[in-house]
Parts: sequence; C-alpha cells; structure tokens
Amino acid sequence: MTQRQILLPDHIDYLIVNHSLAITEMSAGVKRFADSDHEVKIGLDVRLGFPELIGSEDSLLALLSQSSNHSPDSFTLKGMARTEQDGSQLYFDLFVRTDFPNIDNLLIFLAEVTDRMMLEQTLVQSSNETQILLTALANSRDYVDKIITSMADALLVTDTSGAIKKVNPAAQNMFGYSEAELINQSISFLITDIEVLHQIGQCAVLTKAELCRDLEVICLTKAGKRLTVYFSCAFAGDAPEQDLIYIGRDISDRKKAEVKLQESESLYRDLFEDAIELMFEHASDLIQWSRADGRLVYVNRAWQETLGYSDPEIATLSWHDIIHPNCQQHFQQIFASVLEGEKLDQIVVELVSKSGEKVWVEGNISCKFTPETGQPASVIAIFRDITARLIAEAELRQQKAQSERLLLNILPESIAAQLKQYNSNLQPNTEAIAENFADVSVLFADIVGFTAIAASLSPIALVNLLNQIFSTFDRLTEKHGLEKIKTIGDAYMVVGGMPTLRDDHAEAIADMALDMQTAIAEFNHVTQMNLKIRIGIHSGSVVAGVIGIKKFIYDLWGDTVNIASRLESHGIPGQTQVSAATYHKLQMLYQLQERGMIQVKDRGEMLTYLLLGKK
Amino acid sequence: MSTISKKICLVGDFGVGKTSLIRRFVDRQFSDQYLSTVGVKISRKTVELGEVRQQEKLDLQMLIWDVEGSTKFKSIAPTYLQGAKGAIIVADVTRLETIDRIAEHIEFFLSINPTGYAIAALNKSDLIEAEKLADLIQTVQTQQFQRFKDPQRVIAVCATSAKIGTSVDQIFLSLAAKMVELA
Repeated sequence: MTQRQILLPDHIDYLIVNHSLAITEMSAGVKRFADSDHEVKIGLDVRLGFPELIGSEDSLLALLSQSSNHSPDSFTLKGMARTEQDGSQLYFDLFVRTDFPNIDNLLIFLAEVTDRMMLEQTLVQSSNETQILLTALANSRDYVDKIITSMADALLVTDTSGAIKKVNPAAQNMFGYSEAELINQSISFLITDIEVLHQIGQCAVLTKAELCRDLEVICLTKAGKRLTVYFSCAFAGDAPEQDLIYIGRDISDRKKAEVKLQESESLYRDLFEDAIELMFEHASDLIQWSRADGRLVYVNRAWQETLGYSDPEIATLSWHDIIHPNCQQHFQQIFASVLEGEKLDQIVVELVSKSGEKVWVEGNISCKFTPETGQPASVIAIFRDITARLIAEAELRQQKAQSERLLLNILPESIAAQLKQYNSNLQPNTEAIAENFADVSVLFADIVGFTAIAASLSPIALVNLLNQIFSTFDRLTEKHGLEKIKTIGDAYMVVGGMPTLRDDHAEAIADMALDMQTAIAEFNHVTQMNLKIRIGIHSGSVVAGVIGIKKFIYDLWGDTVNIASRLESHGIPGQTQVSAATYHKLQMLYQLQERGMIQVKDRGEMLTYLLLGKK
Repeated sequence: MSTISKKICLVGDFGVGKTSLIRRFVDRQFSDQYLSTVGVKISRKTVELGEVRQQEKLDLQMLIWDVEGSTKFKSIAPTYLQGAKGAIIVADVTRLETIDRIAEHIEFFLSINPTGYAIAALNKSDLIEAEKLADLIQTVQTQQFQRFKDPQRVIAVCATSAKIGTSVDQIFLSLAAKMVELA
C-alpha cells in the first residue's frame, strides 16, 4: 500500500479501516475524538475507540460490498458528543466513505463541530424552555377557564370605565342575559345603585389596593327581578389601567330567610314573654334567665324581691355580680359544667343581695343550646330561698351540740354515744349499760375534818369552798386524762384506765394524787386555812355503767372501789395511801414507803404503802 | 464469562428526562436543572446478566444513546437509531402531549429496527398522584398499543422517576434481558 498524506483542514481528522473494521491508518489528531484514546491504534478494532459504530456494522459493510447501485456510498453520524476531562463538551460529525480506489478500505472523517453545536444547544435550550412555559401557561389558563366556567358564583370583569369585558355562565344565569348581551355593556346595566358605582369608581382612581371592597347591592335581571347580590370586588393585576373583577353571589333568598327568622324570633319572644308573665312572675321560686356569657336577661318578681335589685340594675348585672364572694370559685365550676350540657339539680349557691346580705338558694341550673350550632344560648336557674331554713338548721345544730356537751359532762363520751343510740332506736332502755374493766386505778379523796369546818361556815360559803377545791380537782383530771366519777359530800372520786383503756393508769392516778396534795397546800397558803386531804388508791377490776332511765349517772362498782374507799378512810391526813396492787405498778418510778398492815372491813389485813413523790 | 455489546436508544420529546434517566442509571445522580441535549451522547454501562442464560454468566455492555429530543421543528435522525436492539421511549407524565406521542416514537423506532424491543417510560412520576398515574399507564397500554402489528415488541409500560430513582434500573435491565434473549 502506498503511503499517502491526505491534506485536510485543521478541524478534520481521518481514520482508515479495513473490512474487519481494524484501523490501518489514521491522522495525528484523530485521538482527540476517541471515547478512549489509548484504544485507537493501528491494527485495533475501530469500535473500541468509537463505540458509536457498534450496531452500524451492517451499514458500514454495505458500503464495501457495492453489490448494487442502490447501496449508499456514504454513512453519516452528526453531532456526536464527548465530554472532555475538564467537563466541557466536544462535538464532532462522523462521515464514512469507501477509500476509492482501495475498495477494501473505509475512510472515516471526523470533523469537529463544537462551536456549531454549542450555538445550537443555546438555541434549542431557549426554544424548548419557551415551549414548556407556553404549555404550562396554556394548561393553567385552561384550568382557570374551567374554574371560572364551573364556579357557582357570578363573575364579571370590567375595565376602569365599567364596561363589561368578561362574564361566566353563572353570571349569565343569574342576570338572565346572554354573554353577547352583556359584553361591552356598562356594569350600571346590572347594578342600579349609582352611589355604589360611584364609590367603586373612586376606589379605582384613588387606591392601588388589591382588594377594593365587599358590597351588598340590589341588581336588576333581564326579567326585571330585583336581586340582592353580595359582590367582592378586586383589581386584576398591578397595571395602571386595571380591570375590576366582581365575584357575586345571589343572597336574595338568604335575605328573605333572615327577615322571616327575625320576624318569627320576635313573635316567639313576645309569646315567651307572655308565658313568663303568666307562669313565672307569680312563682315563689326565684327564676333567672341569662345569656351564655352570664348576663341577666330576665328575673321574676320573687327574685327581685329577694335580692332587691331594680329593673335597670338587673339589665347591667351578670351572674357573678350576684354570687357571694365565698361562693365564686364553686360557682364557676358549676357554670362551666352547665355550659357543657349538664343539668344540675339541688345545687346550693350563696347569692348576695343588693344590700350585701347573704342569701342561700337551692335549685336547678340548666343550659339551652342553639339547635343549629350546638352553642350554649341561655342559662336558666330556678331557685328556692333557703336562708331561713339554713338558719333554723344551724340553730338546731347548735342546740344539739350544747346538749351533747352537757351529756358529756355527766357521762364519758363512749357511754353517751351508746345512750344516744338507745334513745334514737326509740327502745326503752331496759338493759343497763355495763362494762367490765379488768385493770383500772381508783382514787378517793376526802377532806379531813370537814364536818367541823362545815359547822363553822354558812351553807353557801361551804358550797363555795367545796366548789373551789373540786373545780381545781376537775381541772387536774382533765390534765391527767382521767375520768371523774362523782363527788359524795366532801369526797372526790376519780378513775384512771377507763372508759378509754390506758396502761399507765396507776401512774396517772399517782400524779393526780400528788397534784391534789400540792393544790391543797397552795389553797391553804392563799386562803390561810389548814385543810388536809386523805387519799386512797387501789388498782384492780371494776364494772362501770349507767343504771336507770332518768338522771343518768355513770358509776363504778366492785371490790376495787370499796378497797380504794377503805384505803382513803383508813389513811393519814395529808397523805396518799396505796394498796400493794398499786404499789407494784408504781415502785419503779415513785418513792413509796411501807405503812404496814391495816385492818380493812370485810377484807382482813392489808399491806399498804404511802406515796411520797416521784423518784 | 463473555462480554457482548448492544446499542440502545432513548427516544422521546424534548424535556421528558431522557438524559436524566441515563444519568441516574449510569452515574446514580440527578439534577433538577434542565439542559437540553443536542446531537447525541453515548454512555456505556456493563451489566451482569446471570439469570438470562443459566449455563453461563454474561456481561452485557450497554451502549446507551442519548438522542436529542424531538421538537416540532426537528425530528429524530434515523441514522441515530440504526442498529439499536432496544429503545426506551420516554414521556413526561405532567405533559400529556408527550404521552400522546409515545406510539409515534415506537413506530418510528420499529420501522428502522423491526427486530428491536421498546419499553415505554412514563417519567417524572413523582410529580403526580398514584391514582392518576395508574390511569395513565392503563390508557397507554390499552389505547396506544392497539395499533401495532407486533405488540410484543413493546415489552412494558413503566412509571419512572429519575429524580427519586423509581423503576430506573428496572427499565434498563429488563430491556437488557430481552435483548440478550433474542441474540
């Protein structure tokens, strides 16, 4: 094969390939067009560097065969793109011809067309973008047209002079004119209110506000019917010569309905007020009717008489003005649950009258709801004045408490409770209330030589003297948590460990005895007298109870009581004598001294001790 | 293991997402920016087809031709489609006119390559609701393809989204599998 040099312009390179598409010759610059330049070598398949040729083998081989005159004599691929390493695009056209006269070879020309293609890209890009935009615009216009056509509201567009430019089917329907009859007509053709049109005109001239205003105007249809139309007017766009858009809804029916509703409402109100006059006005209950916000609408005569407000004052009053401060919080809860639909019965509320007096009322509060919306409409309360009843009840309670206090003076609380129960059962108290206590301490105290003192004093002075001493003892029993049983003449009897059980009853009684002795010493010091008491204490079991049905007295029986009494009567003036049983309970904490054996009636000899003080 | 090469073309109206589908499939990338393609750009991607011919694994080098979209003024050059064994016909679900032209593009492709296979991709499917999409697929399948003599040349109608990747690999791979079957 003779070596040739094909002379070509700079932007064109070439390749020569044989019938098996292997490269046999190429120009120096051809590699710049290759997809992978290292695969463009003499002897290698041209398709490695130029994959565009894959799939085109048949077309290429057809060029070589030249079997028929109809075979094409060239093959062209235009605008092939390569991305360079720096990311820029390189474009080339590829032409294939037979390498005449070397009939077995194909000559492939590669011409760089980057500039042309870049220009084309810019052109195509802007053309395509415009096309896409136009399509989108057309779609959105179709969409808007569809909305305007199908909307239930009437739409009219006018220019600033009021000439109609566009109407939708709903508008034609509403006014009864065809589109042709309305276009270019003045809007005053439909809207008869000159004043309103003037206002809109002003608006158009003076303001650039997007929304002009909402109007309710009377319009005239082709058939001469008057319609109340609610229009919202707006400017279309920002141009100085703006179009006005009217969107209107026929509210004639609604208007009529409103008027009817108002009429029927007032009728209903009249009827209702009459009914109130008849039914409520003379009722003895307090009736008040308020709005859901608490403002009073109606009160009856009984209410007015009880609370003392006049008609003009009532009109300014709200629920919370008539609720007593003590009750405000409670009432707010009540009111809230009423508004939630709860009907409250037998609610007690403290009201306050005009003069500031507290008025207790009891009754029911309920709320009426608007049927359409379900919103609370009014709150109705029917109350009974229970102030007098409450006062009477309070007095009764006070009396009861008083009598209970009295009862407790003579009976221990637990016994009093049992007695009351018997009485409330309305059964005759046939059975004595008696209870056995296994371990108590009983104390007897007696004023020594009282008979001699009694003889030297008047009876009144004597009672006063005893009252002073025994009152002091009474206070001491309370201090030590003991139960006074009774006084017998100048003797004082007290018990520890019952009716409420306690383990330290002996100690409490011992403290009581010591305090009693001290009290007498103080009494002597103050009165310059020389009184002495003997005290006897014994611990053991007793039976306690109430006997009889009149002048109840709570008393103790048993040996323990007798022995305590004996210990007192056989005691030493100014001293406290205790039995061995009591001594065993006290010896750890108290100073005691053995007195020796004494003779006790019905008992024989007993070992006794004298209580000296605390350790 | 053997490697074979097959040429496929992406065909459709301008701006439907041909370049984006290729970019998603080859580079796993996506850009929202519209850059119209001029001329033609070839990408290569080798896929392994194990299940098609069970006796051997096969690597298929796909030569994917991103062909300039057709416009009112410029139709697709037939030389670009020559020798393609498969074509992905792409349309934009938000532009119904591009869907209307799917059949036209398929006919054109099959007229040049009567033994080729085509698959229709309804692209940008992420932009419309699923229900509407199902309707569109139904319409394309029933109405558009009744006119072909050889309906099995159209192997599927798929909703795709180059943006989120829906069914992108699927259309390329099912086309690849079909082309290898025929070889």
